[in-house]
Amino acid sequence: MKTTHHKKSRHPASPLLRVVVAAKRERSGGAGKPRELAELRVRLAETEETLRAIRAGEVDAVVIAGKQGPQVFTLEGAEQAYRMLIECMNEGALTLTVDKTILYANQCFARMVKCPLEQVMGSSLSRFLSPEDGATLRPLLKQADQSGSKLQVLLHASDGSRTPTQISIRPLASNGSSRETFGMVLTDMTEVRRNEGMLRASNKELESFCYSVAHDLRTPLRSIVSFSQLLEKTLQDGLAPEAKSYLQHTIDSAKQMTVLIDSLLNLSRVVRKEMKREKVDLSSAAQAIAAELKKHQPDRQIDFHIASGLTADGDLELLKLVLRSLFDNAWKFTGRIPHAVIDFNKTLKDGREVFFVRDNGVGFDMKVADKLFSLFQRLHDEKDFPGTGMGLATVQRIVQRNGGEIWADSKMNRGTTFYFTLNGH
Amino acid sequence: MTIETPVLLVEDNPAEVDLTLIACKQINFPYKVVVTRDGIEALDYLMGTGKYAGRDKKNTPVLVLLDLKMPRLNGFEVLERMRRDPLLKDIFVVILTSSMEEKERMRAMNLGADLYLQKAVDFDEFSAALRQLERQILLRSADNLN
Repeated sequence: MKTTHHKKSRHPASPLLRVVVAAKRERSGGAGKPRELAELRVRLAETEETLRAIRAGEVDAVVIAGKQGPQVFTLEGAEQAYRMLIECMNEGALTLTVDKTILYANQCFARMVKCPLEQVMGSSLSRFLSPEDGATLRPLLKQADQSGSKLQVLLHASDGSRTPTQISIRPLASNGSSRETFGMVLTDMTEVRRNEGMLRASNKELESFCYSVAHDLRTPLRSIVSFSQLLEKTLQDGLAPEAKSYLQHTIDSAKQMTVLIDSLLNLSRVVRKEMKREKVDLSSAAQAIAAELKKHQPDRQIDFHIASGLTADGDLELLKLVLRSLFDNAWKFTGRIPHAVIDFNKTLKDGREVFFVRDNGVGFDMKVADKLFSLFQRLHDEKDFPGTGMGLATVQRIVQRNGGEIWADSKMNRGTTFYFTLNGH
Repeated sequence: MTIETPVLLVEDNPAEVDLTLIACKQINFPYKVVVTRDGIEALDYLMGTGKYAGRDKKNTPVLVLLDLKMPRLNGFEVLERMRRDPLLKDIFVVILTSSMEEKERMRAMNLGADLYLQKAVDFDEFSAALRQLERQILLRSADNLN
């Protein structure tokens, strides 16, 4: 084959692709030696220029026009960036056939399986998997679609070591070949597993901290309260009024601290509790809470309007806590209203089913609404409406754990409505 | 009048021991309260071993007030051993603790505790709980006689 025509050109469809087009030319017959020599000189110059352009990185592909049509020979360039990307990846990358024969593997995969790259290509992926993982992979390859699928396996290296690995599979677009091929990215999950382990350990530590809070902090507080009470009883009339009030402050503060610790522990339990999902009859739960509240203060003039048939999917115990806390709130902030009304019902907002607890109590300034669900935040004076500032923070976490959200709408001296959704209702 | 049948208090915290003894005195708790400071000492007392060797084992405590968190042998371990011992398995055991962890309560009840009481922070509430226990001892004794 001889190349007699040579021109450097830009590919019309891809302005970034630089192509050398070369055409096969038949040797001209019957020419004299000087002419042949001149022709050879020209071709040599062309070839030298082509080689120079290739060396200088100015050419991405060479197109040779022959009897069977043009053939494209790709040089470093257009695909080079992608190849570099695949080769430099910290994940293993493979292309393979449906019968798991590896057509291509990057260096990282070779490192993962601790096997020379030339021994990886052409071998079967099954060689690096347990029979069980291999069996799980087979149907995934057969059913793989463009959305891709993932699988957790133990990758077996040639030295016998095993690495937890996540395989992401995607069929590759057919390039006209009759063989179906798949692209596979293999991610070493050792680090992820280690982090999961650390997270578990840290959760365990948190649990042990909670236990210490529950036990070790409550015990001295109990001593402070009880011995102060005993001191007060023992001295009784011998105590000056100031001393009596100092002791009372000590007792009240220690008791308040106990309540705060208990509320924090309650919040921690709510966050850690294993969720049980079931259909919860919210109306019945609300009725029971209302009855209990009335029983505690039977002299209060209060009407509960609880809609029937309100249900939600969620954790019974946690959803009861939500209602309990919202009803407690409504009960507390309607304390000074001669005729209080508390509603529990649902409504539609932006096409979503939204539950609400509404009261006609003192309400709050909406300017501080963003503080409503923060820990230890109180929007009213402790003397007027005692509380820990933990109740709504706890409610918000429960609602969020049940896949919902909570917000409030209020007007000073006109009442407050708490809205909440559950499970994207 | 003090009944000679003892109540065993298993508690390592001296302040807690004092509070319990003061409360017992204030409510005229009729039983003699024996104090042991950890699980090993409690089992020695119950089994008449160690420093309690030679104790009249027939004088079984009518109630064991058991703390959970203690050095050497904790409350769970004491309870477990008591429930395995034919002579101790029927003793009325009340867990008296500051912990309100549900897991702890479940563990104690599964090991055979009769009651799980959280120590009230308020002294009068604590005394009232002890008074209730005195009633429960009487009811149990009546049940056993029947």
